[in-house]
Amino acid sequence: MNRNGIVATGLIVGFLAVWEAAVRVTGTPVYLVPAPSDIAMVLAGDVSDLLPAAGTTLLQATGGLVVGGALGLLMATAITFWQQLEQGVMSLALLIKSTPIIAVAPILTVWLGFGPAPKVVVTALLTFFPVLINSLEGFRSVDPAVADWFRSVDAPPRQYFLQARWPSARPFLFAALKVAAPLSLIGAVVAEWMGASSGLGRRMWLAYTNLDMPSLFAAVAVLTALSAGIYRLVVSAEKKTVHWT
Amino acid sequence: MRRLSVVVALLALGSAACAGGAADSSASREMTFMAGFAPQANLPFVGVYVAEEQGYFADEGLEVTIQHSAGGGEHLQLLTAGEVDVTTQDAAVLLQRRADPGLPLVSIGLIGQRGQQAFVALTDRGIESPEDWEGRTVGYKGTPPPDVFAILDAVGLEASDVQLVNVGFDPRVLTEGQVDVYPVFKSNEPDTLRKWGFELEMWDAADYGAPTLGLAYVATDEAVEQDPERFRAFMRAVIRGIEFARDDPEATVDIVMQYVGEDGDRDHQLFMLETELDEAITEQTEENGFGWQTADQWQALHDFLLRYDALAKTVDVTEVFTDELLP
Amino acid sequence: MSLQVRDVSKAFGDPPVPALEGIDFTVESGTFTAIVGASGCGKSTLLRIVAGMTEPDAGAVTMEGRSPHDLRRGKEVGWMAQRPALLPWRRVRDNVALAQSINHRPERRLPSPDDLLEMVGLGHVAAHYPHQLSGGMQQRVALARTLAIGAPLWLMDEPFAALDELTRETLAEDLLDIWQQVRSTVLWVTHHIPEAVALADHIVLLTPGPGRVAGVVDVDLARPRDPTSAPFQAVVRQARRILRGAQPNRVVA
Repeated sequence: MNRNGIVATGLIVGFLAVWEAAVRVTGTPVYLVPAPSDIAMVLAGDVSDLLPAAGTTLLQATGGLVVGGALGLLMATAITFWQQLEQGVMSLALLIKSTPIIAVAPILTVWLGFGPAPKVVVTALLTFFPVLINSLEGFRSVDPAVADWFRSVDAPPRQYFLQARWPSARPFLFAALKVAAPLSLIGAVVAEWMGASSGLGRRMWLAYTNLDMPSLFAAVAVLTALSAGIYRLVVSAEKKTVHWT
Repeated sequence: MRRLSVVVALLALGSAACAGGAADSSASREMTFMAGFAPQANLPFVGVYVAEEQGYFADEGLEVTIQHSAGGGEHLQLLTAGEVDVTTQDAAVLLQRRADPGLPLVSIGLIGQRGQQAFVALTDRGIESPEDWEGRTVGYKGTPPPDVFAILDAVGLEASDVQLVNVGFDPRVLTEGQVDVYPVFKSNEPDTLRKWGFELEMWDAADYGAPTLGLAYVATDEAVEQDPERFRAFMRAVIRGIEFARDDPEATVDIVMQYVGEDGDRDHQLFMLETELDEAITEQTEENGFGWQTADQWQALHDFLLRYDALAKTVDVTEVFTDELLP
Repeated sequence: MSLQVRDVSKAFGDPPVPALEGIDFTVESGTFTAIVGASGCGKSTLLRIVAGMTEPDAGAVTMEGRSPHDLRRGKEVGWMAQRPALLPWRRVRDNVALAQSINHRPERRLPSPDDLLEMVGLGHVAAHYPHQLSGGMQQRVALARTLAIGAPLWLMDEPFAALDELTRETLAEDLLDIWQQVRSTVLWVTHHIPEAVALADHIVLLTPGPGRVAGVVDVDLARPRDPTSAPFQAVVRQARRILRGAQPNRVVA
């Protein structure tokens, strides 16, 4: 591990140590603020439940991210080819983006049932907007010198899109994914609160209503780890695909 | 957090001392009440609203601040931390919280003498009795409650004979057919569903022998020990409030609407109030007054929960409630 | 086959500021013509009009009766700018290959990308990415890319402006070598008179904004040209004189 990694780990360990000491010294009851050791015990003890729950949430989040991302890309592509669509599509997108998810999620459960469908839809609704905006920006950010060259050879729009716009948009797309990926997890968890049978969101909700703080924090810890993991994945995919910047 | 309780206790003692130390001092004493949910005509909330508006609290020398919880469970945390003096809680949940994680809470008045919950199905689905639940989807909120298993036992069905499904808080899943049997609060969703034009079949676990109990006023062991007189005064005022509600429901709903707000549904609140009053009146309360509670009641509920694995460990019910603060 | 620029004018902005006024000259096919003027005299605009990337306000550019649009559609234009504009996400070889695939004209039998890269002396970096090459090497790739199209008309907008003098000299030599084999029609924009004299057959001199043709100088020197020689420097002086506002006449060197 390099020096930065050591410093980061040191900070985290230090923070946990202070937290543990503070709880022990003040005698704070476990149902108000649990100590890291309480949380660790739950993590260790409930592994066989936490892992499948994490898996469910992750699957739903990923599904939503794929759907939302595809939607955003499609819309951006359509606008790039048919500029007249821009106003209409953007108005629709803004409308969807401005609707609070909390209001939408319960209705989706009523329509789509208790399975993964409403979670995927909620997540897609959350993630499509950053992808749409960034892809559009990316499609329009072709280096002017490159754009000139393509004009000089009279490249047809489809060729221009595939050979110039799409590659130029890739860095923008990854920037959007870095935002959308952790967001997708939040979307899946919020949707689970509205009525789910499994997943981290449900565990968090149950733990909170039972005032089981160690379980609540444990689920949050797993969620945080997932979020960080997804982010890392996006960053490494970016490094491999966008190596020229 | 314990330090805070100590400070509160010291202040209480101090103010009592300043007031001459007499238990029936006329000096004003402050209390904070937090309702367990948003403003509505739940009977314990009603008792407090009426006591405030009709001046019963003032008569007892109490200055009560009325707050409402968002429904997430933080009212119990605030109570334990000493930020709130009295709150409301379902009796079964109170037992569960005493078992795990061991919250030091006590019921000072059991308003709901029967449980709040029941199960409904749309009449046109043709489910006439719990025996017809076989092969159908039965919804629950959170975890499957012992009520479900009690009803199934009573009609000779197993849990595996029905499909238990985790549902949310939107009753439209019932009307849209996502689930066949839906868990409700008797004083709430049935009214809404009927307003939408649906006829319902309802089943209450109490009718099948389950010793369910409803909402109670809850305080911490410590606070009650330190200043029982304050809580007695509180209970006197709110019981008067509930008696007022029984005698004049219409006027009571007007008071409730002040807390619910302008966009509230008055009819719905009236339905809620009348349903809750039904559940609060039994032979026992006719004799001893609203809020009366006995060890038998609590023990029956305790054993019921234990039998259906809804209680983490056994609890001494005599510590869970007290009737000494009731008028 | 000649390229005709007839009375071209162009203004920009609101209120309109004239960039070019009444530009009129002819370019014979297979010749190397330089367009010279100070920065801001509209020479880049002129090149873009010839390429059909900008529309003139007045006048027209034609080649055998075809408009710049027709020329581009016929993949007859090879464009090189100050920035090489290579695609950074493609390897050098694939940049050249892309030019060929976009501009696929079955009747033009063209060398393979690797051969073209050899021609410009970059065979050994065919598998590299553009950002791994120096500025001069990137321009060589751009040249190879232009060759890959097989276009008869080369439009070049100060392609060496961003390079150091030594690189410029080497590239200029290599460029001329290749051009003399291919004999495309070249329009070369630059602000550097000696460079124009070293490369071109004819030099069109533009006044500073609004750009008007101050004069045309024919350079009759044999290649390779020696910049230190007297005839060379005479032409340079002549061009300078014209630009300084002397007789706007056609003079043979």
